[in-house]
Amino acid sequence: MLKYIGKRLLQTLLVLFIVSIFAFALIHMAGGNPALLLLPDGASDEAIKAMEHELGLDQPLYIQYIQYMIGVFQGDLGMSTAYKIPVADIIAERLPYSIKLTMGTVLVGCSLCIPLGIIAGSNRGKPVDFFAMFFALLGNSMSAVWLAVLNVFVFSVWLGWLPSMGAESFSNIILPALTLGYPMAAEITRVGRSGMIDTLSEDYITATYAKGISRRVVNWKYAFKNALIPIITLVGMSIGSYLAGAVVVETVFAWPGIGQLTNQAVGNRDYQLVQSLLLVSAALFTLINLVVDIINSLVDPRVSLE
Amino acid sequence: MDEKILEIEDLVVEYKTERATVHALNGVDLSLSKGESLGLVGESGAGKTTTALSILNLLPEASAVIKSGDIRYHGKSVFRMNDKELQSMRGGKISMIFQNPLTALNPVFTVGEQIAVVLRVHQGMSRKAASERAKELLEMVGIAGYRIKDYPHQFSGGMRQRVGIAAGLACNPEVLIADEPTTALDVTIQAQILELMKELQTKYDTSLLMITHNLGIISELCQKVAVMYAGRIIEYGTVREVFKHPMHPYTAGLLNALPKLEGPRERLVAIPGRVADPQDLPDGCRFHPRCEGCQARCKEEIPPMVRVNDDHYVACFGAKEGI
Amino acid sequence: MKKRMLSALSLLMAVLMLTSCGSSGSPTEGEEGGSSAGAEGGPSKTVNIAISENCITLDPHNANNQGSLIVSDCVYEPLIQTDNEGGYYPWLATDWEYDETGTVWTFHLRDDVRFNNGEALTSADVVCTYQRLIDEYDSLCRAVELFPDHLLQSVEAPDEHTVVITLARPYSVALFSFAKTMIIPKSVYEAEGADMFYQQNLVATGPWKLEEWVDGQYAHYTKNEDYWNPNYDSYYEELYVRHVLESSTAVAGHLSGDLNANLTTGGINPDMLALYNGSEDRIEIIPVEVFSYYYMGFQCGEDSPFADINVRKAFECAIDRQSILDSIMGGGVVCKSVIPKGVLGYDENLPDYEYDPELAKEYLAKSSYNGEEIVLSSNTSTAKAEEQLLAISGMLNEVGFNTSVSIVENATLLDMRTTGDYDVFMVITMHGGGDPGSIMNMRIVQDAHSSDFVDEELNNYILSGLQTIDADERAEYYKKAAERLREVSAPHTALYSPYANYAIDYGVVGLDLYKDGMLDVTFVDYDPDATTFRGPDYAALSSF
Repeated sequence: MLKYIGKRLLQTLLVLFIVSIFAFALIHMAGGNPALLLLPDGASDEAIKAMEHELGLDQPLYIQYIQYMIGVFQGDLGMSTAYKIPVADIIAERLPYSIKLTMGTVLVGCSLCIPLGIIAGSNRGKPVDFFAMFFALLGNSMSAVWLAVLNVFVFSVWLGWLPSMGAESFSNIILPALTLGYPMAAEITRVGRSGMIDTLSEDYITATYAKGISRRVVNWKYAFKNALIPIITLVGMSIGSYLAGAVVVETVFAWPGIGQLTNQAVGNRDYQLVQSLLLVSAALFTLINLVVDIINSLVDPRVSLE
Repeated sequence: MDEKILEIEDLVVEYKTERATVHALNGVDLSLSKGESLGLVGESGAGKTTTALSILNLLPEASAVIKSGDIRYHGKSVFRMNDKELQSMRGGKISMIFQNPLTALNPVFTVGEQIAVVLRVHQGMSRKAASERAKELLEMVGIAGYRIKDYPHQFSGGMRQRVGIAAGLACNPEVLIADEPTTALDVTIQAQILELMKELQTKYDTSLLMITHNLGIISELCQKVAVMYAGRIIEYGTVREVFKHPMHPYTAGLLNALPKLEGPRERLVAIPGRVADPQDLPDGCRFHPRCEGCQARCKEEIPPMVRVNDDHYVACFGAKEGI
Repeated sequence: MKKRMLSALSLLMAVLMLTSCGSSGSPTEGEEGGSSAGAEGGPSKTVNIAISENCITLDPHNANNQGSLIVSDCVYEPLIQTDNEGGYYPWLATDWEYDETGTVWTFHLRDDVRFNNGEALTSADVVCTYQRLIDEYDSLCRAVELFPDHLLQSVEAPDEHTVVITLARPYSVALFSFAKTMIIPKSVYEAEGADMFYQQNLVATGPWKLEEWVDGQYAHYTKNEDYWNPNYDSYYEELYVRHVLESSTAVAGHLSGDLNANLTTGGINPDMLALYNGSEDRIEIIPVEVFSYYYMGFQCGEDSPFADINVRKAFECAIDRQSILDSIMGGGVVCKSVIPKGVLGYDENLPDYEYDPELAKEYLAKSSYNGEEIVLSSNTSTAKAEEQLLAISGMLNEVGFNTSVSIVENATLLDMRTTGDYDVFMVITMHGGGDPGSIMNMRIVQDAHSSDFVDEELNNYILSGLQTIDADERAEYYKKAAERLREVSAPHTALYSPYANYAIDYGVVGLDLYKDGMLDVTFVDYDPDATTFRGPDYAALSSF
């Protein structure tokens, strides 16, 4: 196991290296000049050149890239041109919020929907199945923006149950997690349901019944584990995208995660912040994939880590 | 010894799909006594597995319909048992070994668990005790005991079938239903499994319902045989009687189709025609389109089971000895 | 083994989740602004104000956006205060004078001001502040903005309460720049340098102390009980400035009581105002006639259609400004020139921009325009840019132009405007402090947007105004400049000044909704008898 993890980590380094090149290239190809964005409108050419020099932008591109990468290897993720503080500090401040939101989302998604999917799959055609499929259809059809704003107005303004913005206390995470979690829950319900249906039609389930096991135990212990396998993969992939991409929810709920941060950084052409954010996101994504693979191998003994 | 513990009476079962109705069982009569080993033989599609699943009331709910007839275990109708009684019966009193060892075990649970669960449920054993006993059972079927922690995919087909047998016999059931347990295995393994079953049957005095299309196995293992065609039993009796003096043309055909080791080399004899299609059964005797001795009566009436002697019954209008 | 690993993993995740939930953001849990009631049953002593921009830095000399300025303005203070309309009031300095060249400015400081760490304010701190702006000119955004072209030359302190600042040349809006330069403490700056802002160690003289700034969320202040100015003693003891980027969230937060004021830069989007219907007993909508205005800048280079004055004139009178104001912008005032009402040099005798499509067609007919495609550009941060440009494009096409619309990112538009790579762009702008000099200088004389348009007469008026200290004389020059710009219809054509609407709870007063569009929340207070909103009274605040 340790050897496998070691190998995967090495692969991750390679992936990150490639990501860094892409990130650097893309953000620089986007045009725009961060010095211009910092200075007041109509600043003189000298002022612009002076600012560029301050920011190290007057050096050739490959030098900028090399200096950045050297810094990264030493743990220095660069300087933010907008915030004027080390990028590592900004990310360290904002990343935990994204992680919290993601975990909340996974919690909401899984706790609601794994049971719902299982119940729907084992009661095919019955009312609970229709309800589950309707629930899933709604989740797939709603756009994130619409759902977010709807949630704010219903739960915050109209009912007054939950705060509309910010991230101070526990109740602040509920609405954003619900908003992100609902589409995920819809997916999980679908996958759980079809996984359950497939599993229940297998011979070994009949064999399990033939041993005198009750329906409840068959559903929740024996078939459940098999149906769980595709769900784990699904959740794993979703986590990656939520960590870095929950921009809409973060913006609407004023949740200070890294999705919104990346958005603003790109707009500000804050080169090193963008590059490091992309690196961090990629690192997290590959790490999560590794964890998912390990969990998969634990749940499904047929999967061996190679 | 003649106490009939399991009786199937005129069982009619249909599978209803959107497109067609499959007449799987068309009036099956069968019984099993204590300690008896009965072979149920027939070609694929004859309804053997359906019969087996019916005994445990495990037919798929969505599509199977029990039109008429009954199955009684110790006099109690299986179809009228409540959940608790069914669960108690399955695995504890009547066990089943499935046909395909590759799909009959749950891939994400250890073999030990799949054996131990039967012990926990039916004999109330603790986890530890059940685990110990599962180990013993594995040893009994010829697999090293420490392998209770291994998963099905780590075993070969033959070994998986043995696991199935271990689970089936774990609670000393009264009846063991074996649904073609060696069909998916190659011949040498087959022999081993059969040896094992013989051993265990003698040891535990279990009644055995052996479902197979392999006549050789029947003659090895069983005392009685029932021949099934198109969802009905068409001949029944002791193995000796039926195999030596087959009265139904189908049975005779089956026996003739066996290649013989001694004697002159002959061409393999096949039964003309094709197996009756359960979605579109012929009227009267289901076998009549393929029967040389078919009479007018055969095309309209279904022949009832008639007693030939104490050990032999047949359902054929034209049954004569030695056709 | 596998089972154990699985359960260990799930336990770890559960623990992570629970512990991280507890230790977030604010140390005072449950204190979700506005919910904790005041002691004697009055409204809460905590006030929550939403602004629509993020704070990026706490360094008052490096802040380059509204969000950061609002945050640092609450703690730091300048030598003099201004109402951004040309009125200046003594503050840390009791009085000031300038010499006949207009380059040497002398300020006399109060002797009773203390920083919130107890230290007394002396001229050494002022010197430290201005010296920093001189020494680090190139890297401090505010230095470049307030004192362009290395305007600050030197600063000295003849004694403990006197400061002399010398400029490189006379600058008519110097007072405005002085009023926006925040004084930092010498002792702390010498010890920690710029790190002090990063460490959130904001030692300052202002009425609020920064407790905590959480990036992307809020700045949390507590009242400075030892504030030197007895004229300001707020009802509130805690202030939260919350960064809410999404306008619907700000409105929702306001309606649900999480916020006491919704101050969106440039005013609340008119579409959102309807959401406030039904809460008129609690919330007041305040329309401010700001003198920010939308304008379009022409590319007048040789190859451009706008090199021909007839094309420009045709363009100008093809646009029905009033109807766009009414139907898209939620009301406002049509411009007469690039100097809107309230700004020095406003000439009410100038005729409005006319809407005359027939006249436009005539101009176009006698022009050199051959149907070349003209792209109207704007950026994503300009409110309702797309709707405005689409309407304008339609109007232009009707008189014979061939126009299309392009909305790009801020950075991209900046690039385009710096290199001159555009046909015509539209943005909103404002004359800080009510004086158009520096903006006109930058954009017209120095042609910061590479429009390639040069008019000697226009430039002369602007430059003269820039160097005239006397306000009335200056105004005359700017009036002439505006008139000239109308004559040549270049390099800009002004559109309109829409109202800026802000939403504030009744009773909350003292927020400065500057006419130039800037915002300041420093002097927020609560007046239970107020029937309508009022801003801070600087005269009263600075009278001793």
